Amino acid sequence: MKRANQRLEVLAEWMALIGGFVVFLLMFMVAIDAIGRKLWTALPGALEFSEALMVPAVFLPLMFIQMKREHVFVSAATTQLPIRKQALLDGIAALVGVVVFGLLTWLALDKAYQAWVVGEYRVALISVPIWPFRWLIPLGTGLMVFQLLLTAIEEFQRAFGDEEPSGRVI
Amino acid sequence: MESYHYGLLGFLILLGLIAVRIPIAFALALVGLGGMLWLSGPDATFALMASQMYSSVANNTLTAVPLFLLMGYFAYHAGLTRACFDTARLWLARLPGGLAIATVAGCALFGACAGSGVAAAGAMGRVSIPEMLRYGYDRKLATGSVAAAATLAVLIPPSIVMVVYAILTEVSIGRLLMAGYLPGVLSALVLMAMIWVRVKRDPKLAPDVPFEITWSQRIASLKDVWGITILILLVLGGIYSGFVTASEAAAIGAIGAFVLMIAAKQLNRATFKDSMLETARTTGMIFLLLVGASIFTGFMAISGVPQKLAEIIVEGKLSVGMVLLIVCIAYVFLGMFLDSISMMLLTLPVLLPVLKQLDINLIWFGIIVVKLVEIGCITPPFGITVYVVKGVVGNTVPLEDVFRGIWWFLAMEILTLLILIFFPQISLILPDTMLGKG
Repeated sequence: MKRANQRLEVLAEWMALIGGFVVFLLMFMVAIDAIGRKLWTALPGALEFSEALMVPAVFLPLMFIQMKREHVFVSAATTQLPIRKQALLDGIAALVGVVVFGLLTWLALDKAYQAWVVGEYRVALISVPIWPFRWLIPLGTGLMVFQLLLTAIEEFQRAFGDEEPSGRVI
Repeated sequence: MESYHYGLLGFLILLGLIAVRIPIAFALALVGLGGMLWLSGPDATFALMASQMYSSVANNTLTAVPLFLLMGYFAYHAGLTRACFDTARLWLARLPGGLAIATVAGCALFGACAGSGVAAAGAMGRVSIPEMLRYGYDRKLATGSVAAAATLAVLIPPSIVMVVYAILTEVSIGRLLMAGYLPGVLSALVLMAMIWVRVKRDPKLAPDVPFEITWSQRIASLKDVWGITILILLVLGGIYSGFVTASEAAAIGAIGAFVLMIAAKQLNRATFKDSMLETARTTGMIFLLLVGASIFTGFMAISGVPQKLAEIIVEGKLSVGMVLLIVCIAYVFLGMFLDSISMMLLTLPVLLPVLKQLDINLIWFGIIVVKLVEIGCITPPFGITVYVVKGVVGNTVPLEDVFRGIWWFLAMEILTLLILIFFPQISLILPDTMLGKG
């Protein structure tokens, strides 16, 4: 169980690192395109590619963010509650995430499949394939949903377990 | 029930969900989805959702967000906070309260390289607070100056909060960023003047520093900040001249900060990995909020709540001043519980039609909102930078003292806010004389 957890952590961190590295690449692409366009010629397809690269930059880190519990939430109204009650609420919150983003993942999967079948691309100076990027949306949200399930289990254990739960500083 | 009743109900449910610890992005998406399913049925809703996931992210102007974030993290790892403070200290330390004034100047300078003040609060606090305490500065003044000045990064471009405002209200990112420069400088000057006057009247707050500083030292210190100066000029000049768009300026600025990181010999596996992870983390966090907000906004638009609100305001003949007053009070209140971006996501979709109806300049209003957000970052009980500063000083200064130290700065921030409300020219002169369309 512990080893499985470690593997998941490595996976989540790698996904986030890839997302960050995409921004690093995006930096060069946007800058070269901007300067090239003024001085000589635009980078073919740079505009279309830079839009598509936003998808991995946004969706791949989602699992890591959930693992670190860094999705923005408000604790002001519940700080006085006992820790078990807070854990219960956090477990329910994770289940809400599972329902909403589970649905969105399913919708995104369907959309990605359709895009794949027709080979969706955008016409620029060179044609930029869009369909591979469509798959990254359900990949990112799907992994987040999986992590949310783990969060829910963990929080319900804290809420109902025999062991007195310790407070967590977030 | 009319459809706007469902909209209002949805808004109340949203607030309830947020209060019971549901992450804001999830709550926005849940209520938005539920409301749309109720009002327009599953087929239309699902079709819209499926395409919105992609379209609310893959947009050229949005690339400015991750690129400015990357620039900020590179600037942070290049050690620019320390360089900013060290130079400001040599130039300003002889003034009454000089080290606190230098802290404000250093934060303002660093704010011009980074889009958010939280990292700056930590880095600046570690450098300047021990220095101030060593020379016998009042603890409240020392911590207050860092906590307040670090928020200047929100107002001084580049600013992530501004980019998000521009996205939500569909104003030009470049113009809004330009509009932030003078208000940012004004805010810094007001804070510095307050420190000067207070220390003049009560020298015990900040004893004179005992060391001599020569002019050759001062001139020599400039070599540490030439890189920062070029970085700022690149971004500022690029946008102002219309040579590049905001996203392109962000990319060029990020490369500049990356080069400075290499020049400072700070590029290694750990700093690079940290920059990538932090950029990814913050990007994902902000955009998941934006995806949630786009779903919620869709529901609000169908329900007709914003239009209804606009009608009420027109029928009630509320003046621009009244509306501004209501907005200010609402933001100060929300700022006590919510982070800056969530605050805008919840309010702007509803406010936008009202602002358009009243013909309020959205750039000027943007600066006021950003200033309010900045104030929210230091107001008790949940001022974010105050907690960061507290984290830096550990047990040497109690939390109450850090919060007490804020009051003077908070008063000055409100004064600056009033100046910006009564003199819109301060915000609008730069964007109005811009050469590019931004």
